[in-house]
Amino acid sequence: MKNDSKIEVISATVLSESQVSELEESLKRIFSISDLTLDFSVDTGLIAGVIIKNGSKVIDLSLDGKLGEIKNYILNG
Amino acid sequence: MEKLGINPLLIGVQIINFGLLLFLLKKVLYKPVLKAIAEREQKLKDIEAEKEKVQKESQATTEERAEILESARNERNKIISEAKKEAEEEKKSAAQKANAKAKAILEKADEEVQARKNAQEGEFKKRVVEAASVLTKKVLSDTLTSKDKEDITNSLIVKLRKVGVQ
Repeated sequence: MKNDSKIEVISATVLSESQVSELEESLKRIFSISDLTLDFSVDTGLIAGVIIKNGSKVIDLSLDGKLGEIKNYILNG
Repeated sequence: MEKLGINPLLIGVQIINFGLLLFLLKKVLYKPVLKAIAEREQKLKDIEAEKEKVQKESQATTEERAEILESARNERNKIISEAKKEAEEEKKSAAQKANAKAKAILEKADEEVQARKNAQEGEFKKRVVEAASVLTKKVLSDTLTSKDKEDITNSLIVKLRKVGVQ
């Protein structure tokens, strides 16, 4: 398990404390990091949800991302 | 006999004279005439033989000519027949080639039309999906309240619990 890492979190709205806490727990488990630093920013274009970036790894949990997935599915099958 | 005016000596002389004349005629005139006649007859025979020979040769030549003509006619008919056959085959082959070429052109044209159609359909589909995506995004942005967005964000964050270790 890594000791420290900075993770970028882009959300559609400002996240509540409970949401941040939930995120931290999940991200520690997912990335195996004991002490992480979250760098928050807001992008209303996401509509809802969050995008998490840890280096080259990206977890897209935004409504905009879901719409993009649906669009790609329709276009590419 | 003398009373009758007949002189036996004269008769004897006349007989001798006649015999002598006969002898001379035979020797001097008769033989050459006969010889000439024989030669003429021989010549006539030769001419007749020559004539027959020429006639035979002529007949043979005529027959040979007829055979040659017949053969040439047959050969000509054969050549014409073969030429017609070849021309027919050539025509058939050319028609087949033309048909194949036309078919290939049509198939290629069909493929091109189909490809264009597919491309246009793809482009149309892309535009429709793009428009629908933009419209959906716009509608969602306008209609979702802050509470809705927060709820959706919450549900999406909860999903993170199910995400495996990267």
